[in-house]
Amino acid sequence: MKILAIITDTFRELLVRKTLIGFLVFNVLGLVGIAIFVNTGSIASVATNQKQTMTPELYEKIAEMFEVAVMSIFYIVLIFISIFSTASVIPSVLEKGTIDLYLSKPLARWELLFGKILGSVLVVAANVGVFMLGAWIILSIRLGTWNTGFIEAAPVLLFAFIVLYSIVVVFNVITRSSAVGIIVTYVHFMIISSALANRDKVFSFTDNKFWRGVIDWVYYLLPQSAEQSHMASAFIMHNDITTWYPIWASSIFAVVMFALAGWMFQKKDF
Amino acid sequence: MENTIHLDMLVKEYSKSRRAKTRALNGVSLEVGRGEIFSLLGPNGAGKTTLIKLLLGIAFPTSGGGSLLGKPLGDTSTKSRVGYLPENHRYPNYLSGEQALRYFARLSGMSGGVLKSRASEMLMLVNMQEWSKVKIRKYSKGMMQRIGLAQAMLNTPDIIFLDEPTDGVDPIGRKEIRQTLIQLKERGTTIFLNSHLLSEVELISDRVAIMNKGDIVKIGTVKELTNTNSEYVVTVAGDIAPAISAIGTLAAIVSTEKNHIIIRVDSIHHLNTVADALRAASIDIAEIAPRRETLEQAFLNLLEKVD
Repeated sequence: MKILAIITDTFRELLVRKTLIGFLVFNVLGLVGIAIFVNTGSIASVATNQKQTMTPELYEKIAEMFEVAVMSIFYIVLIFISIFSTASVIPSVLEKGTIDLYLSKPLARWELLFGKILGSVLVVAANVGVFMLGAWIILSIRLGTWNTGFIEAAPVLLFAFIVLYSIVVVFNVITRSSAVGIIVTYVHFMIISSALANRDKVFSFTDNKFWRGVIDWVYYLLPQSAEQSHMASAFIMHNDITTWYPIWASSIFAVVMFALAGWMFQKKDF
Repeated sequence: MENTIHLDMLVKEYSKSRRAKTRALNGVSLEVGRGEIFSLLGPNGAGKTTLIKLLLGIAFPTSGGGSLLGKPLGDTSTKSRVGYLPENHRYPNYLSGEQALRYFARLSGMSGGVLKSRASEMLMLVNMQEWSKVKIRKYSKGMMQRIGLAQAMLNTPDIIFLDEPTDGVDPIGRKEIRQTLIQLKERGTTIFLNSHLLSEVELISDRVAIMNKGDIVKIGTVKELTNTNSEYVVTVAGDIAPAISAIGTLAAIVSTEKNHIIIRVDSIHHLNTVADALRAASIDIAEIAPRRETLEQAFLNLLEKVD
């Protein structure tokens, strides 16, 4: 009941801050963009003119590749917007004068933190769901093939957000603000994660075993956001998933980060 | 009297930097009984708000401990019997007054019809029905205080902590808040008050503690704190000149004003000697009463001595 009240309040807060409207506008623009994209250029040409000249298997593969392209762009934009939109949810609770009110209620500290995290995740989940469903319908109608792999990729996108959001939450609790969490998460997502995913190329700069070992350790410890994008692509392409490591290792990372945030929040003086 | 608050050598240190620490509370021990209006006075930084935060588990003691309503400090379940109006409280400004009350009532464990009726009742009590649908960001400071007070009383608490409850409230509003607090006391609610408005504290408090630099330097009833032990006001009917000459050197005359003579004596026997001298000189005595300071004077004098 209390957690439900906190989740409802998170939705209301994001609605009033125009975050939900922002998400809606983003979804509508994104879907309109996809509709334009599939009706012009190469997709339109493939879907209307060249379909007859291809084998069904080849056509499906090309259709899946278009879907991967859409998902890959959305993956980056989604993470950016979602992290930015939800990063201030917890700091707003931690403001002086507000946190005192919450902590004077018969509410465990973990309930407050968990309620706010869950509220943020549900807002992003709704956004991901609406966009992926809309994009799937548009792409499927235009391409004439209903690839359920596109929908199966949606939970991977949400998972990627949750893992990165765990970093934001830790910095929210430490600094009581959103800025540091956003910067660290963006740096990891855009630079570190991509660099580590291509660490074979990084290794070409050094033969030093020690540094190679350090880079390997960092790779295995930090969330593998780039690989999660590849997994989402594999779902769409119906490729075999060679390793679930990016999911379970990142799950452990997220659990540790949320637990760390919870522990610090539990001990913190306000 | 059953104790609502029991504190035993409560110490709170905050880290200024990695090495330097500052003490906000220096081993505070305190008992507050059920149904009391207990006020905490002190200059800024005396440790008043820190004390409330430790009582409610908003911050944690460095050492020492205590109980609130018979449970250890910070116990979550106890908070369903506690109301709190923090200083400079900030409600989610995207909510209206009514929404804020309902939200915090839910967090207090209330639900359904009780929640709605209690929220309306409280809005009425603090005269905020007209503004109940307006967003909090449009409220004045006084309105915020009224909503804060309503929020603190929502769950019919056994003890209510009020940190500067009349801050920003006009004189009429202050009087209403005072009356509300007296009604709460009549119902058996313990009231723990932090206020800079000493005249108000004087009007309603059963006991007062004065804090300075993390210590409770004096505690007692308002009468005890404002009583100047050896000074009495002698009020005479008619001219005071004959009375002054009758007192002569029997007692030190501190000051005179209209038909009042303030004298300093060593004991009650000494006072009676003065009274006898006045009667012997056929002076009509209208009243002899111990001289009292205002709470503000007592507070300032005490802090001067301590510093």
